[in-house]
Amino acid sequence: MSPEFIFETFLDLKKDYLSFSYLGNIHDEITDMLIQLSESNIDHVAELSKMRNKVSFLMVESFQNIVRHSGNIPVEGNLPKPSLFQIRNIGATYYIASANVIPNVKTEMLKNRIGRLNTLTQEELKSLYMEVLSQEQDGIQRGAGLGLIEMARKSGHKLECFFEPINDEYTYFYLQIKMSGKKNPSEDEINLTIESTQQLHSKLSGENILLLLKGNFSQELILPVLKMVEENMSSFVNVHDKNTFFVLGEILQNIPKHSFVNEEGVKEGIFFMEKFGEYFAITSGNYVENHYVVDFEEKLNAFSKLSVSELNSLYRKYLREGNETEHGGAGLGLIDIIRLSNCNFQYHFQKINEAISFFTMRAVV
Amino acid sequence: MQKPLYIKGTKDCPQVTLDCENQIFEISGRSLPEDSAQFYAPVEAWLESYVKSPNSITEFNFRLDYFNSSSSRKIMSILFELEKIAKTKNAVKINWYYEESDEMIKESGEEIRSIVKIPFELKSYKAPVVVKPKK
Repeated sequence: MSPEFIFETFLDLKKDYLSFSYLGNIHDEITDMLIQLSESNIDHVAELSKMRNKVSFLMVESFQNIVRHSGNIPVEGNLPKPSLFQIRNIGATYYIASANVIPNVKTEMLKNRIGRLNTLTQEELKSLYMEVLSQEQDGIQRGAGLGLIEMARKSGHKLECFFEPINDEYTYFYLQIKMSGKKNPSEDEINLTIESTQQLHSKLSGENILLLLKGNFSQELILPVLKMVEENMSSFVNVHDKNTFFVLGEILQNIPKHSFVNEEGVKEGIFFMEKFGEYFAITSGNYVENHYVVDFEEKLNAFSKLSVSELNSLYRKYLREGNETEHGGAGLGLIDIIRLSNCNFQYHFQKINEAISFFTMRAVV
Repeated sequence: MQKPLYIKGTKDCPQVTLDCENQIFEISGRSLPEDSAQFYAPVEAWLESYVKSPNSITEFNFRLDYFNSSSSRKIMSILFELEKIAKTKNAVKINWYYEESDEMIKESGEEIRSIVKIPFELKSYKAPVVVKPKK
């Protein structure tokens, strides 16, 4: 992944206050993490705060819809793209999107069901929901469309779907739910089409990305992601030891340490976890103030010339002397990242203007 | 007397207490299991047996923070089972608790109340105040 790709993706998601994409095996265990993740940032817009529970509910429904429909499909490795689960918060609007593989025979049924739901008013959706709910269970298939009805009802917007054929047997089913905290959101808040979601999915998949997180980097944002990765390590391929987890944590926490704080008080950053052959590449990108760059670059340059044993000695020295810089780091954390990645580490500074540069770093573990 | 059923809550499954001796019938917390049929199977089995010889008064509490659509089916199934008690000389009542600002759980309670044919009361409560440690 090039520094250009990182910055370009960051700019593509410029308007996103939170952007989270998860590509891979979708299973039920990350539900709790998703709720925490969305709740970590929802209070920044008053209108969104009021619909906190609805957003969480819709995420869970969307997520479980993938799990529900993913039976009897080819394993992820044999597919052109892994499944996708995505949350994007732009202004007072939340988008929840999913993409998963379905057998072609289900395509028409889903198209018709969603098309029909989209013609119904809120009152009609409520009646339909009550009708389905009041039926005794016998003879009703699991699911029975209740999840889709609830998505349409609770979002208050039409459900968007898109079908991308894979071959004679299977199709990618994209479903996007929109929720607006304001009755009349500004135009740039509502132009996220499902086609653009499909394009982003292809772009991320093309770079073997498993996880993308863009947002206001704070401990509240980082903790659920760390928890999710920790709990899902076994589902990722060839994790040799705990190094991946440590490096991931250090890189995630390094973003707020060095990040430029913009006029809204936001420490904007982007983070990727990518499958890199037998290994993982962990990448971050964020703005830093130019007056830190010289010192920062010098330090990184010096660290990256050292061998692992030299880094180990330096690490112990820093630990003993408590050698931390006034900028809250550029010390232990970075040494840790470089030595744990076995010096497989790159960094890049791109000057944006007189005040700030875009800093990217990438470690393979 | 029927043995009590106790299921400890997890991050995505609710806590269940069904205890006829102490007259506690409660489901609380989050109900988000993907496979709600599996989670609720012992609850349904317990209730199926209980309604054959229930206490003279059964007060059943729901204190849910979240529940997914597949759980809503199971909640209905529990309520349909409890309706059988109302058809006997025994009494049954549902208390549906919601945090006072939680419109979604409140609305769900109102909808479910309109479907079932047993006394069903919506009760609000104040969220506990969380004190964050000073940094």
